[in-house]
Amino acid sequence: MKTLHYKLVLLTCIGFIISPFNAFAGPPIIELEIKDHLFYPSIIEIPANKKIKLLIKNLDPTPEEFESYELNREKVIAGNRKAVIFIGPLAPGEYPFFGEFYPKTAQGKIVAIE
Amino acid sequence: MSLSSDDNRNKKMFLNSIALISQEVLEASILISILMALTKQLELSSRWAISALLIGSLGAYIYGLNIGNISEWFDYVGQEIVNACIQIAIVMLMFIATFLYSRSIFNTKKYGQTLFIVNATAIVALAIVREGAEIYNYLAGALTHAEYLVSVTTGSIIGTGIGVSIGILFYYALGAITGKRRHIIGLILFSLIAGSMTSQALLLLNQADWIPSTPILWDTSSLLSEYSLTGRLLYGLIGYEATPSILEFFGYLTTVMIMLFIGIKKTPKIKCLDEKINT
Repeated sequence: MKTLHYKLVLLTCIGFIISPFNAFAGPPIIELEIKDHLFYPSIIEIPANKKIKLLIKNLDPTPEEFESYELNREKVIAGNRKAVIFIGPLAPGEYPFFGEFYPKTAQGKIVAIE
Repeated sequence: MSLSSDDNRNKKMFLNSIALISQEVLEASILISILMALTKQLELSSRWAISALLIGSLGAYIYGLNIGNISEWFDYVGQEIVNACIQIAIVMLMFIATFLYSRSIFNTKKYGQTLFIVNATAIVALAIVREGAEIYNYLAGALTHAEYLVSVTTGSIIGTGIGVSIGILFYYALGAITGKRRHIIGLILFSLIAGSMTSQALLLLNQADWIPSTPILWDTSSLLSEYSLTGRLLYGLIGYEATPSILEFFGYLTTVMIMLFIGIKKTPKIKCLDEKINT
C-alpha cells in the first residue's frame, strides 16, 4: 500500500514537471512537399515574429537540398523522406528558398505577414 | 523546341555542379593546404594528407548513404545535430593543432609532432566527411538522370578543379611569405575558418531548435550577395553571411579570439622561422 502511495506521488510529480511542456504544443507546423524537383506550395504565408516548424516531405526518389540565404537555412532531404526545419521568428517580408540540387526548377518563397 | 530546353537545362546543371562542388571542396582544400604548409614548416612529411583523404572519403560515403536515417534522429533534426558536432569537433582540434604547432616544447619533440600529424589528419578527415556527404547526395541524385550525366560529371570535375586549385594557390602563397609574417597570416586564416565553423554549428543548432533565435545583427546582402560567386566562395572560405545573427557573430568572434590567443602567445619560439616552405 505504501509503495503504491509513493508511486502515485512520483507520478504526480512527473506530471507536474512535464505539464508545462505539454501545454506548449510547439510552434505551428507548415507542410511543404517536393515533387519532380518542384516545391508545393511554392509560396507559403506565415505569421511574422513567430517561430515556425517546416515539415518538408521529399516525394522524389532523389535527394534535394533545401537552401535559403535569406533564412540562413540549408538541409539535405533524402529521397522519399521527410525533414524538419525550424525558421523564424521572422520580420515581415519575403524570404526566397530553393532546392540547391535543382535550383532552376525547385524555387519558392516564404512570406512573413504581420 | 524540346531540344533547346534540354540544352538549357543541361547548361544550368553544368553551372550548378561547378558552383556546388567548388564550394564544398574549397573548405577542405584550404584546411589541407594550411595544415600541409604548417607540416612542412615543422619539417615533417605531408603523407598524412593521403590518409586523411581516404578516411574522410570513406566516412563521407557512409554518412551520405545513411543521411536519410540520420536525419530522422532527434525528431527529424539528426542531420543538424551530427553536422554541428562535426563542426565543433573540428574547431576543438584546430585549437589543439595551433597549440601544438606554436610551442617549441611540443613541435620539436617526436610525440608532439606525431600528435600534430594525427590531429591534422582528424581535422581534414572530419571536414571531408561533412562536405563529402553532401557531394555524395548531390551526385547520387543528379546522376540518376541520364540526360544530365555529361553536364553534371564535367561540371563536378571543373568544380573540384577550382576548389583544389584555390587550395594549392594558398599553399604556395603561404610558402612564399617568409618568417613571422607567414605564421601570422596562417594563424589569421585558421582563426577565420574556425570562426566560420563555430557560427555554422550555432546556426545548425538554431535550425534544429536546440538553441534560441537571436536577432540579425546586420544585412550586407545589397553590398555582397550570397548568390554571387564571390559571396559563395567567401562563404566557403571564411563563412561569409550577409545576415548573421547576434549569436553567430559572437560565436565567430570568440573562436577567432581564442585561436589568436593560443597561436600568438609563443610565436617567437617557432622553429625554422625564416625558412621558406618551398625551398
